[in-house]
Amino acid sequence: MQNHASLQPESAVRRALKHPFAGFLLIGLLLLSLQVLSILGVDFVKSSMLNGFASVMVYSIVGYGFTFLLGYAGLASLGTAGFVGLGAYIAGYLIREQPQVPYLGVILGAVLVSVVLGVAVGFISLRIEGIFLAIVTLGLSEIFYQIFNNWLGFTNGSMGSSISKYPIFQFFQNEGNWLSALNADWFARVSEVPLLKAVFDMKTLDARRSFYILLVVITVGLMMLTYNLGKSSTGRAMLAMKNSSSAAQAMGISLLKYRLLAFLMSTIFAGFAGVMFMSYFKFSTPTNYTIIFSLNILAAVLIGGSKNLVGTFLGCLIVFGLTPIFLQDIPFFRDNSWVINVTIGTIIILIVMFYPGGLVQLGQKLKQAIHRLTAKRRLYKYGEDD
Amino acid sequence: MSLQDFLQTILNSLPMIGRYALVTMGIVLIFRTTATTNFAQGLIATFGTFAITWAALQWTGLSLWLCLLLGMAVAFVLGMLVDVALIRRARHITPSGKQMITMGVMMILVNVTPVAFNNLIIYNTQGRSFSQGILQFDMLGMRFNITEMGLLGFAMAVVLLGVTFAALKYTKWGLGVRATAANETVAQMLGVNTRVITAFSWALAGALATVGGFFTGAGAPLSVTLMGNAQVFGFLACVLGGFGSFPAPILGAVIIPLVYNFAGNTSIMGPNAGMWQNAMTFLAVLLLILIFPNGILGKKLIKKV
Repeated sequence: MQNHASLQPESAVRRALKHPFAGFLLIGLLLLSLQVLSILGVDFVKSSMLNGFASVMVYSIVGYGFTFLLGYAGLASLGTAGFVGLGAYIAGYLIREQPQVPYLGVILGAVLVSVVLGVAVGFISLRIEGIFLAIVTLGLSEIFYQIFNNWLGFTNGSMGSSISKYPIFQFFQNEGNWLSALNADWFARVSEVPLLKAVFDMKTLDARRSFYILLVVITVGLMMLTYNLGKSSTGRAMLAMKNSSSAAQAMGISLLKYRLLAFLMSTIFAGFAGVMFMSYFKFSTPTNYTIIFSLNILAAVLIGGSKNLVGTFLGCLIVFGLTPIFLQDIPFFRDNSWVINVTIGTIIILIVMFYPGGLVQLGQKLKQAIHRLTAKRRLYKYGEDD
Repeated sequence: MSLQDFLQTILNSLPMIGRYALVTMGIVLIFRTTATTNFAQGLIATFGTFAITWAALQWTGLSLWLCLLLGMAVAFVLGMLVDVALIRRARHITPSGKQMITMGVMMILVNVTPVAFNNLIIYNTQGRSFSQGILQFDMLGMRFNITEMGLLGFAMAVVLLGVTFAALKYTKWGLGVRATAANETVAQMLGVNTRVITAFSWALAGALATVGGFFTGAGAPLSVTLMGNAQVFGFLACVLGGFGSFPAPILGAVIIPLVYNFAGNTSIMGPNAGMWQNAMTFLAVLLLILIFPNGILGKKLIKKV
């Protein structure tokens, strides 16, 4: 019996599923459906669970930037915590103390600072390489940690920085926003328009839900962007640089340009994720941004397979999401929270030891096993091939 | 800043130099033999320190020296266990993968330690220490003081590091370590039992760092973050001195506490010195590293293509 499957044109659905974006969209749809279920009032979806998924999304954004750095450019950084924290605190400061700055300006401000930081670290990476670079960035992150703790005017110190309203969706409730600062009359008139009121003047719960949906869109969008960048000539140049910097230079690839670019990507993504964290959770303390956080991001990316974005998301889900999403509601784990972290640590060790290629490798092995099983079944059903 | 203040600041750095040098020695031993930075180093030391304190409070009749030895033994076994159970089986994994394994160990220890030594954490128990006294002495017509514990810690560090360096230079184990550090495969081919060498290096690293941990936490309530700073500064000391040889990182571990104590000196850095002490130290060390990217005593590595 011959296998004619290969001769038949593939169905449109199969083709669509094979598209690299299918996985990204699937993740987006799953995340969205959870929010929809919660809006419909399904008990199973608790708000703590949604917050857990939101944090996973925010951290996965950091992860995508880091994927670029580690998976493509082969550079290691342990300064992620500082970069994310900086974004979060800039957002917190601007939104709280300078309400006349529009939200886009807040994002731009955080990105701009991240650019400066990325360029600085990129130049350092030209002088110091490998594990030494990781340790130096670790030191850099510790400096930021001290700043978060001690610069009270900017970060509110160990008490933590907080904002009172959600950006965008509670724009009208924000006193002294840029529109009212520009012209109070216009603002009074505009804020009475029903349609605009529905979008920019939401209640807290609605605003949180809307921001969650926005976060899903951003996460999926950034996944696509990162994927495309990785497949572009930039990504290929970085891969060449990762395998051998000398050989890459001989081929005319500028180390300076691509190292800077890789660090820029990672710091910009990290800073942006910081803004998103502040916007969704409205609160941030310095203890979020210790070395543990940097190591967790590294763990998430490695678990995912260091070049696979769906893997990175799943890695973030394991490292950051297990506690708030699944385990918190089980009484045993709630009372013995240490068991959770020990479990996560064990999972990390097991995956790195037995599947050094990350979850991607695990997935491929599973796929092969399924293929083998179906082949066996076919053999059993139709007999031996002639 | 007067001369007395200057000398006193250097004197104040001695205990910290001793502690950091011990931790750094452990980090560099592990890095040279297994090519990984051990993020669990601080936590292994913390676990050992908790064991010392537990033993000292459990058996109050026991000499504190014996408790110290006991804690060192615990960390010795723990370090060896990490190598034998995990790192040895992860040879083929990338350096960042190995790092991740040590990070997993760190995550486990950070959570297990407070549970294992529950009563020490809950009641904020103070550990025993050899002495609480402060030593005062006159020199060059000026009066200096240093805590007796600090001086003892420094002296112990000097002795232990001296023994370790002598062992590295003159014993068979030391030769094995140096051979493994130079090239593990070739060392294996020449009949060096690299598994024993690395396991013993991990064990020794744990034991040495535990002494550092004990002198960090002696006489005060313990917490799991006891060795956090020592760990990060230990890494930086290795980069600053240069990972290339065994003594070079110790130089880093001498410089960093000096920088730290001068950064915390109010007569140089102003009244808020204490607040920015850590940040200033990191900044100064990072600048030094940028000036000496291969370490102060390190040589430039030339890679073959």
